[in-house]
Amino acid sequence: MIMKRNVNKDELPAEVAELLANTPKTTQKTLDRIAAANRKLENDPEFLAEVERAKFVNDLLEGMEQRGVTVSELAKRIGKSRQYVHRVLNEDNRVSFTLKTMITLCHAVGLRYGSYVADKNETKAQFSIQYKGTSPVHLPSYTPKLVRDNRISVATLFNRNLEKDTGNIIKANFSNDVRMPA
Amino acid sequence: MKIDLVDIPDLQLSPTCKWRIRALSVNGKMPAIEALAEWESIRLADYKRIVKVMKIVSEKLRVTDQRHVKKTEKTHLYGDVYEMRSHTGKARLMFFYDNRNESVVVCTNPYVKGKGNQDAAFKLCSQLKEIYEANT
Repeated sequence: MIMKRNVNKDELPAEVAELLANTPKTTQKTLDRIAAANRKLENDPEFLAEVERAKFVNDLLEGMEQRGVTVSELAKRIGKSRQYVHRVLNEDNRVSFTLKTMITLCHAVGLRYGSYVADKNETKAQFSIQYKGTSPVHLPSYTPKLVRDNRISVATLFNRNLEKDTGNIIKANFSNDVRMPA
Repeated sequence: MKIDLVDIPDLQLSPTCKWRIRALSVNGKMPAIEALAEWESIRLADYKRIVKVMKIVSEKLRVTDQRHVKKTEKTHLYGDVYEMRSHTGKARLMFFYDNRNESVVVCTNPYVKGKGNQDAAFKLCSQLKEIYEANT
């Protein structure tokens, strides 16, 4: 177990003091520059495809680990070489990540492939809930637009996450303008 | 001492994300933000890779792919601190998870492979985590 020091609110360890001494005060100009760079990336299909590919590989690796599927075993199941699977897992550009490839890999590991398409301007909401005698619990985010469009209700989210225990809830909080169902 | 968290400017996260990605500010100084700004201007490929990892981190409870995220091996000394990795690049961004009030990933300080010491960067992250937790 890690030993925690008592941190004096105004005392800084020497290393932290040195880091801060070598860091300029962050200006709005710096923040604006990062914002511009990030906006540019959000409109770069190549970058966004790389992100999706990386997320896919992460899920595939997790699935392989949980199910005890080795690279050799996966290669055997899809009828390809170990080298091919290594290339997939290394996000190698020589591998064509078609939907068919991704679905085949998922099925071979025992996973189901799913994709998600959303409105570009959709925002993220936070959803927290507090039971009697406990601290607030922060639940996975959801899309207010889905709720507004009645494609999923807050009640569904409650049920999905909390089963039939709503009688014990003393406080629910939504960071966006999402109303509780009647 | 003034401790704040700031959003990574215009980092668009998926509506299904689990963690909000933020940077630590100590007395108006934000080492993670300054590093991102520097990488954006002189290491663009690394910058893109780190932003990619931020997006992955935001969506997973924990990232198991060590090409993207690595936890310190010295948890007995530094606790649960991690680094976002640019994989084939040199940029690393240290961070920790905070689930006390909201689900947030706090980016603290940078490390560039070949310059400085990874262990010292994890230690700094751990120290900044302690300061953050004592002041929030």
